[in-house]
Amino acid sequence: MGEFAELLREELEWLQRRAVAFARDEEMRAELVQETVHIALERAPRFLAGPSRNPRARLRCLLVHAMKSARSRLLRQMRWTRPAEEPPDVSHAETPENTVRAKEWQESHVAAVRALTTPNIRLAYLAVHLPHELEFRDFEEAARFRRGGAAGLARPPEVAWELWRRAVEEFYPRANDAEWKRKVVEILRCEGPPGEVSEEEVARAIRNLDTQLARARARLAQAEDEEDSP
Amino acid sequence: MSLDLLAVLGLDTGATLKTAYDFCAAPPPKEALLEWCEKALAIARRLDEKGRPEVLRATLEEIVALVEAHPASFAEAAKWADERWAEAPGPWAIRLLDALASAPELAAIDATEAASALDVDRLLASLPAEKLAAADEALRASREWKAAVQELFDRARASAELPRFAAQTAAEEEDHVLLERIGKGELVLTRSHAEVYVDWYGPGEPALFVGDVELSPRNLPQGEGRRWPLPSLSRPIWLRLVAEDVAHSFEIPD
Repeated sequence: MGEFAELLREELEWLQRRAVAFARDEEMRAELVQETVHIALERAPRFLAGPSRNPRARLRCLLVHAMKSARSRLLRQMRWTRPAEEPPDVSHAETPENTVRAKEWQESHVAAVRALTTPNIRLAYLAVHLPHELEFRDFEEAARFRRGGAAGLARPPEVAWELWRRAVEEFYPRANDAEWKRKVVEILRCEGPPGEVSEEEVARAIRNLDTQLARARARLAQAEDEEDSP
Repeated sequence: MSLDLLAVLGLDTGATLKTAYDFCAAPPPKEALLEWCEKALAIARRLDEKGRPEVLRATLEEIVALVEAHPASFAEAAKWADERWAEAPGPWAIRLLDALASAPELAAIDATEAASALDVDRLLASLPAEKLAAADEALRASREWKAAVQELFDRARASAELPRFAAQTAAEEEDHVLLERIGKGELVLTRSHAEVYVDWYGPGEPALFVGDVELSPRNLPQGEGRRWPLPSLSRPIWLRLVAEDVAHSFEIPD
């Protein structure tokens, strides 16, 4: 076995961990890893040319680039459409064609969010923009990320999920609505009973949420750029 | 712009990138990491202004990829990055800050147990042999790069001791080693008979400095770019390619 294959073998376990963060089922993960490896191999001769600078770091760098392209490529094969500035409101569609188009867009956009963002950012983005798409597993995954240093969920996932379901039933959530954003942070980012959280804590949590929303948009836009590039 | 001011601004893409690679090999102390973060952010901010050199874009993309590939080395800068969001960063600064702020999350992913559902041997066996050979060759050349530079200087020295015949063309007596690939340009170490040059094949009209001394440029014999005869100095030689107000330092090794 050649040197590149040996180096690659050592990095494949790491690559599979990364794939878990972006693809839920096993088949999709395997496909993502395979696509990444094939793209990395295509680009390796040019990418690795020149002075030797920590070949392992360089190979991971190549794999990170390749995985981004692989994600874009796989999403494109799933007929992923480009994300708009704001998600369209399906309920406002007046014709059957509009309704179908808006639903297709929403499905592909949710697929893009799930594929391109990590659990904390995904929870923040879906909670604000596509609240009906959130599932219990999103809460569980965001809660697990607390050990990474970024608190995505301040409550146990079961408690937060119950509060969330009630909120979605009681309030009709609207994207970017200030009152809804406040509700989101009270449930996801504060520990006290909703409605009794201090203004200071809510303001801090909203700032944090806005940061994560900006990061989610940056990632989606970056993927869009990569999809557009040859 | 003077080199002193460049040093103050800290916009040295080569040095910033080299430090990032050093961090990947061994996580740095927090103070050194934050100092580096300021330099990387200065590059991103400059890139957010219009009409900046290509070298900045290529460097920042590589920096972001390194942070994403080795998040554990950069995780301690996450809080620093979060605090910078209040400064209304531009698109490139957002990309850098996002990578740094996400480093703890990615480091946590890297620390989890792999759900190994993949048949690694089968995957590796499925890769085309000719492409694997090309990648192997690139790795070999990269590993032997330093030796190739040494051999080029040895050949230059040997050529100086031989008589040069009038019928000999420059092309017959020329060889080269790639020094750096910077954005859409390439820096190449070229030997022609006993002379050694640094050639820039790429856009713009950059200047080349050894220390504080600017080397005199020439036009390339063919193609667009610049050529600088390398003075006889003991190696390693640290050089700085300066385009507009951005420097890219690099080394010709011993």
